[in-house]
Amino acid sequence: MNDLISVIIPVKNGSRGKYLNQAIEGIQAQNMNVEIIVVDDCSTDNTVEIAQSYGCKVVKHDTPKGQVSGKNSGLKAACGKYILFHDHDDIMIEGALKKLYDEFEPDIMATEAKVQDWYSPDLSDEERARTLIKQEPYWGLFTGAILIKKEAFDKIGLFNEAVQTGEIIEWQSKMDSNGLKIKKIDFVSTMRRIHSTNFGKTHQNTEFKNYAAILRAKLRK
Amino acid sequence: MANYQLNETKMFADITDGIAIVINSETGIYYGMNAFGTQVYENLAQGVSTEKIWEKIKTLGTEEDNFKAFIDAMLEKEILLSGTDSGAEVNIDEAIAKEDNYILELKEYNDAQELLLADPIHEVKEEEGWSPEKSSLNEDKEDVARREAKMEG
Repeated sequence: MNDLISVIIPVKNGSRGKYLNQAIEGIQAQNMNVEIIVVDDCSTDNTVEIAQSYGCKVVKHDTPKGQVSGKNSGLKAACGKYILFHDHDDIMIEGALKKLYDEFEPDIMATEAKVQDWYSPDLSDEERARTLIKQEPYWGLFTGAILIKKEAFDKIGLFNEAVQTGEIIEWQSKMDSNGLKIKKIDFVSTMRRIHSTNFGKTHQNTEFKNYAAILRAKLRK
Repeated sequence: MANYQLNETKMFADITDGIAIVINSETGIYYGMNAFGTQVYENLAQGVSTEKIWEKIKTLGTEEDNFKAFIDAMLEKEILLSGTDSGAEVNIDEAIAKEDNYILELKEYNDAQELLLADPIHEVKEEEGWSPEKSSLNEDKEDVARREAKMEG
């Protein structure tokens, strides 16, 4: 049996379209020794009940704090030797977790796979027609794609909660500066659900401002 | 005399604590400037003419080649495009220019391309949760039920 892996799913209102159900089922289908930690950011739907119905550990925020804080809350509650962050709306491909796990070597602190964009089945035809997605798999997202030894966070600390997106940039920068190695494995581990472009465009400037803050801090080091 | 503006189609620029970061949203390459460079860039992006800027900074001791190379690099990188004269006056803090020895710096970085291009959009809209805006989806109840049934299947 593999060492325990803590899969952390930060979520707010995950019941829609059974996204959360499918994410959890995708993880359970990996048939690995995992604990699934659902961090609820004050959902107003039955997210907590869904998580509990699958036997997940549930961590509740008293006030809404966002998904970066959710990652930190999950880390604090995690008992696993390994950590995997997973968005509540994505689906891990069968066998992917074992592959990420098996690729570890003594000097490796994280293994990384690619994600593949995928049209959510509940998108209307009209939405699909006006939503461009990446056709090829790509690196660069946490969701279901990066397995990390928990001890890495003992060295680099928790995520910076001052930013709400782009935390992976800071994480990778800290890994690099601490000499912690990430091994890339060229396969798709997770299907990243694309709902609509509206949301991303609306928030694009906020995201870039977050990125700029992280990059500025990175250059100062 | 020339005037410029930020190439907003490709570039996102943010100035915080006096330091500009410009991200090319198409390539994931980003650019950093020193504080003096940030000031000159800000003047340029606001449509202050190069003539006005040069008249000011040449008195401080900036070399003309440095000024030209700084602008040429921003044009080459497509950070700036030709623009119109906004009529704004040049605004340079001499103390900041002095700290940077009156030298303009623009540096290019490509160490976050994959991450910047991955575009993680799982931001949250308070009333909606970390899911798509429902208003952007089809609200016809029968159609929603049909599509959700398809997902369960």
